[in-house]
Amino acid sequence: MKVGLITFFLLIFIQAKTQQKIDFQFAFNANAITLNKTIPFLADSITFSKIAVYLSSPEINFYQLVNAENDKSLQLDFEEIGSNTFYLGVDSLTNSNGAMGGDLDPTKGMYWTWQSGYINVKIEGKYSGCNTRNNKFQFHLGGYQNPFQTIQKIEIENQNTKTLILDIAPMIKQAVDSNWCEIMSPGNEAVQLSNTLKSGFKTE
Amino acid sequence: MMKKLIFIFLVPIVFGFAFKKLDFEKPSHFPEPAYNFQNNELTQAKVNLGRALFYDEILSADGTISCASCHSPYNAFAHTDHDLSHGIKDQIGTRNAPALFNLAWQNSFMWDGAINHLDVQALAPISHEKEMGENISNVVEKLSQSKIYPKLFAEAYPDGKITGEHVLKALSSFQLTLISANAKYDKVKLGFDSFSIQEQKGYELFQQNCNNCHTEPLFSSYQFADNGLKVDLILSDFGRVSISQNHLDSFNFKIPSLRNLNYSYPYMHDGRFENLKEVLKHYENPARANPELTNHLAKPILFTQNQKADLLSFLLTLNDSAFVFNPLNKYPKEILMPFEGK
Repeated sequence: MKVGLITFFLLIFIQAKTQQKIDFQFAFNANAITLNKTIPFLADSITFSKIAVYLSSPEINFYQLVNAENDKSLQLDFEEIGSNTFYLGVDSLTNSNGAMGGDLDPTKGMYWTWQSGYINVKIEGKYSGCNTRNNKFQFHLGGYQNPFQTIQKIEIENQNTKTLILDIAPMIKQAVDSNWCEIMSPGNEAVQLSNTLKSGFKTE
Repeated sequence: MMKKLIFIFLVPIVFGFAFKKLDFEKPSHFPEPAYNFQNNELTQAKVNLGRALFYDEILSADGTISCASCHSPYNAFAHTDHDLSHGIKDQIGTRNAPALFNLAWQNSFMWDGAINHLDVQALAPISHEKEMGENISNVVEKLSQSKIYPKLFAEAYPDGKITGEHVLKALSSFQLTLISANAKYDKVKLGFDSFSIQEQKGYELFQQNCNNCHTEPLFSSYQFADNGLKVDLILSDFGRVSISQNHLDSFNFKIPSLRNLNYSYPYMHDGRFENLKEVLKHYENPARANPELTNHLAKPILFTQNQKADLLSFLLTLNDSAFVFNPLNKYPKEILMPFEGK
């Protein structure tokens, strides 16, 4: 009897826990992104081969690397991310505090090596509008020091969010229009693109 | 049964010893270190692991280059064979490998300060295609497959995991123990020795002309300055500006310590000066047209021949042979070649 009751409450507890998870989705305009699948863009199409971003809540030391290659990473523990306010990117203190573990471990491929600092956002792929070798675009957006700080504060108003969507189309459009298809170091371009990326957060 | 019991009792003792905190010995005449030991508590096991990693070519893509290849203990962890660093496949880099000591007192690393913390410094040479040409994920993979490292990581970290963080913090731990504070200068400061008349005269010249940038007792302020070197047109290296993107940092390079100069030639970020006479000659006439030239060199530093001899005699008192020949800092044969001679 006791065992049954415990199991019952445990199941409720697990259920409650799972309910706090929120799905994360990378989108391009109205299309959900699948890596290496073409998506219509202007008169042509665009392909993404890599998309990864850091979401964080530094006050409670929470950092999650959301990586399109890893389904498990696309589940957000919103309870931990905080009360509808979180950050896109890694704060400057963490950027200056030496080697970190977990999702912040440099083996995750989101740390620059030739200089210190986390890459907050990594987006790579191909688009014919990019005047680069093989039409490749590479965005490694980061920078933790003024005047090139790239971390973005995100505030979500929806209290019943089930899915958090990051539409990267506005950022890509800005980059292509500005002829910035290879931005891989901190600077003005990274700041502007990070700002535009922030506007792509939506909830469902 | 008895064996089991011995094992049960022995494990905590052995591990207790390995995880035991190692006190960082700050020389009494040194300032407080900049390194935050709370985030990476020093233990003998981590130092041992870091020392093994520092001397192991496993960190490089083709297994030919270790940290010590360019940072030799006998050169105060610099490299006297090359003016510019020498990496895998005989590639030559763009800068002179700096000497490594008293790193716990430094907040930025590399000649341009590109690295903001000792823990993450090693990522730069590991990943540079002209240095080790590797990446930290592969390093972790190779270490996991090795015969000696899983045990060393188990001794160094409670969870025994081989991760990027653990590799880097172990490398830091070893490098934090590279303290140079045993030169004649130090003994004089601590009251165990005294300068000769010539060394004393040189010390006074040093204080009047050099101490602003090469501040004692570390013999560097570890700031950045333009010391008037003309840009090497092949290397086109403009220093810190490439990191800060602030034009005022053009031609600025990290001020190196004047400790252990006898062991760590050639000098400057591109190793252009073979000896100290050339260095002193440079300061007689640094490139005056350069607007970023440090104010401290607004007037050229002109010494008579006698004064030069005095200054050089003082600089000799900064050579720390006890540090350079410290067996604890050398290649850890007992760890990396445990079966040698058995």
